[in-house]
Amino acid sequence: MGLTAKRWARRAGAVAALGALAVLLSACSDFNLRTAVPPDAASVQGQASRNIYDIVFVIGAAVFFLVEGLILFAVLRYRRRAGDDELPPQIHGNNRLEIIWTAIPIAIVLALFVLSWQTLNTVDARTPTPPVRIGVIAYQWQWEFVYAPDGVRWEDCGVPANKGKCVTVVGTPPAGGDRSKWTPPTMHVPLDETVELQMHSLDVIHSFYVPAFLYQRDITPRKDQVIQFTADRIGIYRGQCTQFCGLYHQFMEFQVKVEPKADYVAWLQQELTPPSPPSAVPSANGPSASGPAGSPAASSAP
Amino acid sequence: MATTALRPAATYRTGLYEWLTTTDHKKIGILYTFNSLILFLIGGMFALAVRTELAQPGLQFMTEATYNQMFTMHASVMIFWVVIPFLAGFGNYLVPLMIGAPDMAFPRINALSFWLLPLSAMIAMIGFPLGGAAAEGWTSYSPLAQSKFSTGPGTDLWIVALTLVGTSSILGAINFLVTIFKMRAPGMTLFRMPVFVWTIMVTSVLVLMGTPVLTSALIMLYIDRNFGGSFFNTALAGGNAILWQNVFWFYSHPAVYIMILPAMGIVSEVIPTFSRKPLFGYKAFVFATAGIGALGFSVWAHHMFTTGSVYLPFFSLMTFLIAVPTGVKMFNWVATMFRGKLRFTTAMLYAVGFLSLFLIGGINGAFLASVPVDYHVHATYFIVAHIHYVLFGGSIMGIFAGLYYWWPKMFGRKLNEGLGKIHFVGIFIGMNLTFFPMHLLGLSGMPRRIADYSATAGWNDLNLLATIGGFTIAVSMLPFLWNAFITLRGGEPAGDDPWEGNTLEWATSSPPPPYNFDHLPPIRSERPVFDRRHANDAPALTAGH
Repeated sequence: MGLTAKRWARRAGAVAALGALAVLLSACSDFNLRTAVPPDAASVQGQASRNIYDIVFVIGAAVFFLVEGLILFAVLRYRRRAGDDELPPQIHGNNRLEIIWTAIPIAIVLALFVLSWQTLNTVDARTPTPPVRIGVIAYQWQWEFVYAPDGVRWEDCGVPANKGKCVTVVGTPPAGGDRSKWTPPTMHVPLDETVELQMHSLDVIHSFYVPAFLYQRDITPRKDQVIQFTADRIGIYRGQCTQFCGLYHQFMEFQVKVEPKADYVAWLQQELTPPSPPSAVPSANGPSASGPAGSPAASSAP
Repeated sequence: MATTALRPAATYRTGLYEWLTTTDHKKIGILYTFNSLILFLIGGMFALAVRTELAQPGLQFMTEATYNQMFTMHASVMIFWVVIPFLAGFGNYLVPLMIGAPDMAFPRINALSFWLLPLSAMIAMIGFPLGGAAAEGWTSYSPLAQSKFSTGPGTDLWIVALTLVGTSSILGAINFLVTIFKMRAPGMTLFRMPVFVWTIMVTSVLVLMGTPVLTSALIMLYIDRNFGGSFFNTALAGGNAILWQNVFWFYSHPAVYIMILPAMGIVSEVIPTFSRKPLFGYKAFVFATAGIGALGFSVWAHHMFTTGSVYLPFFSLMTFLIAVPTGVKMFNWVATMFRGKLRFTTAMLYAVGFLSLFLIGGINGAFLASVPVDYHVHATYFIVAHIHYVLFGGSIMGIFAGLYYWWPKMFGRKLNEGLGKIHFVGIFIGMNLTFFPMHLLGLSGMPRRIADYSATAGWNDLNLLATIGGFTIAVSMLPFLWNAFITLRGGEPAGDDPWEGNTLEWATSSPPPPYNFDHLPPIRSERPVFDRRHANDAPALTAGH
């Protein structure tokens, strides 16, 4: 079996070389392989998705190494030697093998399907009484986050009776596509509380995506979407529109700031009592004017 | 080498007029091949433009407006004018030869199918000088594709061009089906047809069922844009943006199988020839092909998991299940190589490359079947990685395998094997350098179709790596083009059967005469030429079924 041993040694060498390459790449890379693939979940739902991702990954990796190994084995073992003109045995098939390699994959994908379905029920679970509701308005090429008090719908924040009761967060829109003159809006959410987003698009399809929540949802005109999540890790997370929405699609970024309940309440109070520069009315009919340039602009509705 | 030609092959090389007016399926097949190659280079340029811009954060080379046209036209060209017609071209050239027929059933319709392609490509491209080509992505989602958001002629030209491509596909599919069902030589039963012919047959059924849906949707979009229709225009009562996604993907998901099944068919001819064995599990392979075709129509909404508008468990289950027939094929290919005598010609290298890369495209597809995982990676670079491991790692590798394999039959000259191997190594390395990092970018949350990204997002190095890979692919095409050029001017003569092939196209001269055969070998199995070659080889015959 000396030949086999030599082949294994060669193969181990190849694997080691690949590993060394990976280490080399990760050493000089701004990409953090450990925390970004996928990101550490910052929400309860995201953690559930992460768990099913890990299962799919392990099974996928096992299938990859098995089949790629079989291919490599066949390629290395069954090369035709020079001068060998003999026909190999003409094998046309084997029904038992066909049944085996049909049945086992069926079992695997059915198991993955059931596990995914269960996870989906966790991720898409809804509570009828979420403690925080935020209106999310998407339009070319900006986000608005509207915080309405209990008993007021975010759509009604523009009504005169609700003057001064709502908080609207907007960013600076990308003037002329210049990244330096632009800041994304920040959505504040309390830690460990279920947040409901009521999402509405004013023009084309956008998609609300927060990688740290491992979640995205399209926002289609005339099809408002309601999603819920429970952030469970303090931090500021990047979010971005993932549905191509026209010229400045790349600028539809935002941030989600997860903070302790007390900080969240304090922030909301501070926003409700501003040195108010009158800002346009947030409404379902048209995007409001931009906030002041600089830091993520927050302004109360008039 | 004995030849069965009715006329000397030299008369095959005739003037321009002959090429413009030909109804010979072989010439039309070659026209398809060259048209697709030229558009492959053009679509590749668009891809290089995208990769160049993304190499570093910041907009260095083009505006968003140009960038959006580049990625839209890259995908449109590669899908509608490269992969689909390239494979249809192989079908045109090979189906009549493989079933022992003199030509396609409707030769003039066949010519029409082809000529619609360069015409439509020009219509789509003319948008560039007329104020901008289409720029909404190849999926052209409404309402973005409506006239309010996409002004200018590009989108309308794109719609007209795709309608013509659809017409071409439908005519071609009818032609293939009639040819396969009515024109097989005596003895060529369905279950003795080469697997490639089976894949063209199933593909034609998919085209016939799917393409009219896309073509109708395109006409509806045109009405929306130009005549105030409200099919998909949400600004008007009754307009439904999700409806577009349903009808679009009802075609465009099966289109993925239209783009991969014939490539699987090519690989299923190349691997047995260079393993000197029959395809392992021929019937299982045929049933798996039909199974993929049937399941292919029940998975379209997995492109819409994040819309909140589809019944998730059904489409998730069907998407998982379609991995099964694909897996059966993979195991059958590997089993074909087992205990064979493998010869690593360039064609075989590309076929093995297909196996090892398409495997990745299948496995990362299983991630997307799991709805919670799809919630995370949908519309990110993970999708870009997935589709390129399927369409580049699968279809394009299969196409190159087919080119190296059948080039000697088409032109009577072998492509140079040394240059071919350089081509393969470059493409294989470049392909992985370009598309593997995209998995990681997508998992870390980089959306697709963005012209620029933040320098602090952690995406700089992987994007640079992908760009280096893209240029590696581009440079690796040079040996191929040189190879094709020198071979057409006088390469190594191929002879009728340079590879010891199994199927009927190797029983005629290279290139074949008009009407293909003056006599056929007896057809008693799916390998008539093998049977003739080994007529006195008792073990080979008794092993036949």
